[in-house]
Amino acid sequence: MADPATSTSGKGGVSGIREDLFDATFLRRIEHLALLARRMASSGQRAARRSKKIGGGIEFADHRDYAPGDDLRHLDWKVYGRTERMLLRQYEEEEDLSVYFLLDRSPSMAMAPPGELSLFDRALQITAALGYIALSNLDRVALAPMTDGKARPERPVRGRAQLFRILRVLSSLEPGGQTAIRDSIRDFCRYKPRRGLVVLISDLYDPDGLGDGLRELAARGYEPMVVQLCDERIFQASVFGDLTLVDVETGERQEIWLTPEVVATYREVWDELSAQVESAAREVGARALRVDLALPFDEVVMKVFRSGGFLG
Amino acid sequence: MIGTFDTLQALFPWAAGALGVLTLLYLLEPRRRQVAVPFGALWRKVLERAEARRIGRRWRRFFSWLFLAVCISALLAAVGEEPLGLRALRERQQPPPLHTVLLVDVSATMATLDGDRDGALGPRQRLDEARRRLRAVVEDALPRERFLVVAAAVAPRTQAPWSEEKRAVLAAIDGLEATDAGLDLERALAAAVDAVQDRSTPRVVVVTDGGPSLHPVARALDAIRGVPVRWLIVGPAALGETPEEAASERLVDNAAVERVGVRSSLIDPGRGVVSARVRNDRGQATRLRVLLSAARDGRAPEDFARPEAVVAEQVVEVPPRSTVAVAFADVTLAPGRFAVQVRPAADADFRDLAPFDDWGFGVAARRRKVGVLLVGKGNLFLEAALLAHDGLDVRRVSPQDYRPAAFPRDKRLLHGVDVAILDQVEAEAPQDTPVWRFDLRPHTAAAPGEEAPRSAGELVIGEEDHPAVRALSLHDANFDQVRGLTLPTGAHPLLKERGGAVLAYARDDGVRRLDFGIDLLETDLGGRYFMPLLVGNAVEWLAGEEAAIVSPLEVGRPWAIGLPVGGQRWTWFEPGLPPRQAHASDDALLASSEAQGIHVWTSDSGLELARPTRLADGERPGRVGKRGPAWTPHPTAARDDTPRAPWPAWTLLVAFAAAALLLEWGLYQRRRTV
Repeated sequence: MADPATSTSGKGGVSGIREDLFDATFLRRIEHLALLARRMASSGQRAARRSKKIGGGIEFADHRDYAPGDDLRHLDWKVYGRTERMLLRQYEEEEDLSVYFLLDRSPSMAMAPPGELSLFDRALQITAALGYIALSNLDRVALAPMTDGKARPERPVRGRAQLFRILRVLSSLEPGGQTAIRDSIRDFCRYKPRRGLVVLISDLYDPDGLGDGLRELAARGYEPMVVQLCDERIFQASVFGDLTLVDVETGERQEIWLTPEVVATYREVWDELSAQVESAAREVGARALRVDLALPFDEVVMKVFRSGGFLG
Repeated sequence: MIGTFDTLQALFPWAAGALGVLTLLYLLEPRRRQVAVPFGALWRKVLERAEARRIGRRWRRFFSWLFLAVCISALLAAVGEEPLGLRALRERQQPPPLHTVLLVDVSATMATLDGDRDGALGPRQRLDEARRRLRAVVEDALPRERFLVVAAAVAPRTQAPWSEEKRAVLAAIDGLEATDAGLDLERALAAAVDAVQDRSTPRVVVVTDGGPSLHPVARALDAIRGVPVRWLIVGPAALGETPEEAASERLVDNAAVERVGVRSSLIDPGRGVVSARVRNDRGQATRLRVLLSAARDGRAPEDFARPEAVVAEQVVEVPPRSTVAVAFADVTLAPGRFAVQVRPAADADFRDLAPFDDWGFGVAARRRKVGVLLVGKGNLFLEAALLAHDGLDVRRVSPQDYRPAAFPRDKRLLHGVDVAILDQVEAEAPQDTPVWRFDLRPHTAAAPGEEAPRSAGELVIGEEDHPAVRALSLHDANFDQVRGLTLPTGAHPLLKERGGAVLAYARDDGVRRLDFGIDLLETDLGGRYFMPLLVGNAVEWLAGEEAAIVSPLEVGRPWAIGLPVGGQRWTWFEPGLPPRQAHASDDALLASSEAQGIHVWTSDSGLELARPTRLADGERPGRVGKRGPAWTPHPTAARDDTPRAPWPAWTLLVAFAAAALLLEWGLYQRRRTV
């Protein structure tokens, strides 16, 4: 097994990988996270990850009524003998888990003061960490950067050695376009990737909301998981007075006399938006996490673990 | 602040431009900061919810604009204010302001109607002419000349405060009205000089008709104290005014009637003498016509100016700058009211410059009886002569009963005695009573033989013009015994021997006395026709020339006319004015007027009081023309000591503007950094 901390090209780092995000320290910490994940799995928190697809496996899953045309070999005769009901035995089909990372790369994710991490940077780190953990679990990992209503998934990779491939892909991503999560999810589904876990990492600033997208993922058999990134500093505005607010994505201008009261109102509206996200997630049985930018990425990963659903 | 607004008026285009630029900048929003936000739609919800757009943007921006506009306005006002602003800059380039007091006579005489010089405009008030002259002064005002309008009557009052605004000054001039009061020129001039003398470039413009003042004009001129005074004379006195005359101090051509007396005769109370004193102010002898007019109901000069009212006329030649007495004898006193007018004779090269003093007025008084105390053994001729006069009330006392030593203790002994006649009485005469003494005996103080009785020589009248012997001739009288008299200082000889001693004289050293060194029993004088005339003249003179003359009222002064009865309503007929209610105290009528003529008061019960007026002694147009220092419109040395507020408006405006700008800047900085 390759140690990601020692697999970089030393001081200068690996070519094509952003050293400001994915340096040796970062790699050591994700390795540590992977160990923690395996320890949690061995303690019973995680068994072997199986798909919920009913198929040709050997482990009984459930009964269902017989329908004409069904294979009589799967008829449970014992039950028929006791109850004279014709029930068909079903088995779980065991297969590799696919983990998709729908990474929002809209400009709203890239806003940050000079020299400081942006939501986009933090999203890249979280994606890299979760991806490495999935690779360590022999799951199939695929990236699907989304913007402008597009989310074409990359070719899935498998095995820990593919970490650097993922890091290069992440390092090559640039913010751009506009946020359109629902359209991006629809675009993602259009490529009919294998069913699996879909981790949506975004600030979720979408005027159309998130509900439709999550419902579509669930309807297509995916298991969605939402990580909502936010920057609390926006609620600690340093600029007040007569301002023109310019939307970084649409260029829309809003003239405003910004006061602390207005900022408080903004906080209320943002909280309502977050509540709508959680509600939409609960509606489809998905998990939703709100993560502040100030939270270190490893703690974010642990928070994802603790929420269950990622490795469970 | 009026000057500030004037200055701002000139700055208005700049101010409008500045405000326009300010508004444009606000529309362009150059200083609004742009902030990139990740989720504009979310902010739109915020704005809709908090209505931040309505409150924050519209009103606050409007208030901010208003705030800046106020700041700019304050700065502009400060720029326009003195002394730092443009106004001060402009003023520094100009000479200091002129301060002119317009002192306008609004006494009663200013309401007099005069014809204009050409007669084309008809009669109009002197005050109208004064307004016209004042308007010309104001219209010709120099830049930054300030005016103070003072209305002068008995008490001066401010008609308009200091102002450079011509409209305000002209409005104040138009608001002037003549009063019923007199003029105190001294007080008015003092007030005007007080108001102007500490200011830059002071001067006083006096507009008057040259009418009478409560105090002599000479005293008024003393109040000027070096302040240049320009005299504008309106009315008749102004006809001859020329710049040369205005600049000279010489007396002007003027004839005047100073005083008029009407005196009835003791012999015939229905007739009498009207006397007048006529003055010539000219520098050379002048022939003057003196007209006597009588009118039963006359009051004003125009009542006596009718040709049919003229009853007598004399032409007299008056020496330069002198006064002569003119008498109209044997005048019928029945009309009761008389006026004497002086006019230049037809052949006199004379232009009377002050017609207002050409008239004098007199009223014939109802003559009271003259009390005569006759002390003597009794002389038939003397008593017959006294009895010839109805106007005499003779009380006879024998020499034995005559005790002059008792007079100082008992005033009643001489009550009602106007004249004492001592005929051959050795006792002393009363101290304070006019005395006519016939005494042939030598005076006790005379040297032995000096005044011894002797035969008389040829007699002559010593002082023919003396009232006591006027129109009498004693040349043909026979005197057996006479006594020569030592002529006291100041005495006038009435009868003397040709080349010899004085036999009778008249003396007036406060108490009039006639001393005759004769005995009527030693002469045929008593039996002659002129004895009653001599008695009448002598008693009239002794009783006093003024005794039977109604005292005139001096115009412009307060009057108190004694009333014969109290408790009645009196109506005042003022010359040239409609009748009105008179002010009366318990025992006197109280009035004051500048109307020359005869003032008449009538009571409800039909009583009538008539009093003539006379001008004040100092009222001479020639002296009015004695100007103060010459007026120079552009003096070289002047200072502007216009009183200023301790905190001028510009300091407050600058402080406010600075504070406002600091506040605005601080708010802007706070918006940027907080």
